[in-house]
Amino acid sequence: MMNRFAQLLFWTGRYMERAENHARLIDVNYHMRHEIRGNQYDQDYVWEKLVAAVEDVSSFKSNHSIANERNALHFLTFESSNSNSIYSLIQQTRSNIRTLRQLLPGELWETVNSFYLWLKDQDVHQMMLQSPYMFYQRIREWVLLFNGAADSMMTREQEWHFIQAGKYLERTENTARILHNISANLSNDNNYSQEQNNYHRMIVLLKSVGGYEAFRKFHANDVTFAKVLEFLLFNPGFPRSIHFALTSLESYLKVIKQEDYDYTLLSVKAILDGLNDRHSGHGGSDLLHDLLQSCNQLGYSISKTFFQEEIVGA
Amino acid sequence: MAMLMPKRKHLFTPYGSSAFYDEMFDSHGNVRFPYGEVFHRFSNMGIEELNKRNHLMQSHMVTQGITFTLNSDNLGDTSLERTIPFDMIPRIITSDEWALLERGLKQRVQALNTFIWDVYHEQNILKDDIIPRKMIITNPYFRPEMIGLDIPNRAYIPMSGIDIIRSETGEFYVLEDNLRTPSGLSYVYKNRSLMTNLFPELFFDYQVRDIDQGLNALLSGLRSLAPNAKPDPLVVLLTPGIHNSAYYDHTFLAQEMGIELVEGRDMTVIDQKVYLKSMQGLRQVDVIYSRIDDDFLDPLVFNPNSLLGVPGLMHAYRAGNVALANAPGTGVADDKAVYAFVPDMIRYYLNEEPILKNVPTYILSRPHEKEYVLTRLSQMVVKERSLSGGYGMLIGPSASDQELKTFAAKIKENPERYIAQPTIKLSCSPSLTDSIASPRHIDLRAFVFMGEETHVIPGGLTRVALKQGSLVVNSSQGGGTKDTWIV
Repeated sequence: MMNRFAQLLFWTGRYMERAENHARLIDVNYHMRHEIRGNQYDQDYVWEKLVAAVEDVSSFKSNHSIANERNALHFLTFESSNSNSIYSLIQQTRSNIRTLRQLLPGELWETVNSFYLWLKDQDVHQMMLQSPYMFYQRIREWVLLFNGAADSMMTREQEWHFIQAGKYLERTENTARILHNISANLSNDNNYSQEQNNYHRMIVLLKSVGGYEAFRKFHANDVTFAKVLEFLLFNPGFPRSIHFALTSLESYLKVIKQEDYDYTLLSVKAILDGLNDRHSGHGGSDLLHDLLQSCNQLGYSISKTFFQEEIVGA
Repeated sequence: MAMLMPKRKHLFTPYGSSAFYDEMFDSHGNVRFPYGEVFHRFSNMGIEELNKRNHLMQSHMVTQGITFTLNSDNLGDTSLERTIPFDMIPRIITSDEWALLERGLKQRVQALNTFIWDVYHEQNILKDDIIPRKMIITNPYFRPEMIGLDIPNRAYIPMSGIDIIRSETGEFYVLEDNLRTPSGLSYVYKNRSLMTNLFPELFFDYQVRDIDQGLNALLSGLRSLAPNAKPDPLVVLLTPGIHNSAYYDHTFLAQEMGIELVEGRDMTVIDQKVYLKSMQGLRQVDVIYSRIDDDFLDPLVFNPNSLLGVPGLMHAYRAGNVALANAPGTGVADDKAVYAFVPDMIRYYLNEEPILKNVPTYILSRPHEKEYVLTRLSQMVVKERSLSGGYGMLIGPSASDQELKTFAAKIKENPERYIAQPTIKLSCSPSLTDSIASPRHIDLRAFVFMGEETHVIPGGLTRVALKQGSLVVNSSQGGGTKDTWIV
């Protein structure tokens, strides 16, 4: 396969996962807004924080003077100048798959193309008039359809491995970022420190990474930050935990290049070990900050390893 | 003059016969025999059902992304992606008619291929004054780099698209030869799959000749070009990229033939060999099915600003280390003035009479022909010799006085750039327009593959001028297509 295609496949996996994560995060926050008490100022502050959770706030602020609900939803979902809006992610994925069409099952192209054609006809007014819940639900269903079509149609070769590697790196980063944000907020926001709000926050956190139901199975009513953190970092069976995502990522990277390749560069194991050691010490935002940094480095070394053209003599 | 026949129900009731040859109805308004079942099925279906299927077909084409892209500088702007309108009423050619067309096409392509070889080797046809030397060597598609070069199997045009029309008398004529990068093959296949999905019942009524083997023939033809008869050659399709108007055609063909779809930047030339850069390292490329113009193939030899091609490609080609399909320089034979000489080529090289007729063509560099054309410009079609796709054309009967004047001036200034033909009354076929069938002009692009044997795809792409009265069928000018059946 050509390096150019490998890169497009990897980013296809990332973009689709990112779109799903954003849809879930926005939806959960949208529906929790009534439960967080406060005046209009606090409410708007909540929206700004949501934007901060997925995006660079400064670019949002330069576009919108007020961080209200409608502006935030538009910016995160439809804004074409925001390269991380759901619209931009899907448009980019479509463009990637259009280039890769001849390598992938027709079902994948048709799914992504239909997804894109549907999304481009939506806007924030229409969405608010109808049902934001249904809208974000629909987004997630499209992604599920994509993942299902890929799972049941793709041959397990390089194309598949790259999409999966992108997906799991993105997932790792997403879970890490949300954990990092929440833990930073917890230590900063004194006025929200009541027990009740804390419980809500943990529920929001779990729902934001799709882990609410799974967590209940393991920890029942013991909803504390320490337990949630441990669950999302280390649970080996929950497909969105850091442990699961990193282990999967590693397994795909290993099949991509089997020969004489030094995997310490893609130090997935080192990250996991480091997490384990330090978690037993203290589980603060430092740990999560470092984890985010590791994800960045991982992304960098993957691109350096796999996507740069080799200049080899014949 | 609408001719109301009692048996014409619903859909075809207001269909007016006209001065043109109609593919479905004879001059008395009777249904021609091969169309009997199509006529009945469509008539009985009811307009609502037809609209429903039409809608289904449209959404199918959109989700499958069967589109072409209008030229634009705005990359990624999907509002410029268009589906080519598909007309559900099929065009039928009987197997007797087809037998003649097929023989005529093979004959023509064989002569054209021999002509290209001759032009780049002995130039006998120029020495014998059959074709004016000047017309060839001043041609912008004449490639001196090809002179004396021996290419595998002498196959200059493994793939060609020959445009055929039917005149008011019902006879077939060749209108144009496309020997460089003819497009539209994917639509032949997509049209057939749309029709079998939408109207399965029709395929029980008719024994429509199968087209499936066509792409296999093209692939075999390409593989047979591999230097040193390599048993398992690496064949690639070279595309200008996702923004090219025919990109869908490229992905379809690459996918169907299982060959790699590559851009110029994916390849590199080392020691006069072409390599594909891949994660596994470099793989040597044996055959390139090129869908970019000669001009852009190699910036070292042709257009130095080209970013689409591969530097050094022509050296590798000349060294015999890679095959190109179609060969560079084939445009010298599909020039619209050279077209006028194809019947002579057939006689000269094959010692046969041409099976398919040419449309009479006036060479405007000849003073008396120019004078003749200028006095009746409003009855003529004038084409710029080196352009295709319906660009740079004057259609006399529908042109304004101003347009006629402008073109007359252009002809006087550069007569050698133009040719003229009498306006041919292309045949009509019923098309679905606003829920009724109306006559629209059509032509046929036939696809011919030259490999160890010459293969013609049974049928080809029927193109429809969707505007009432229009004679321009090109998709870039808003034309549509039909499935084409040989029965």
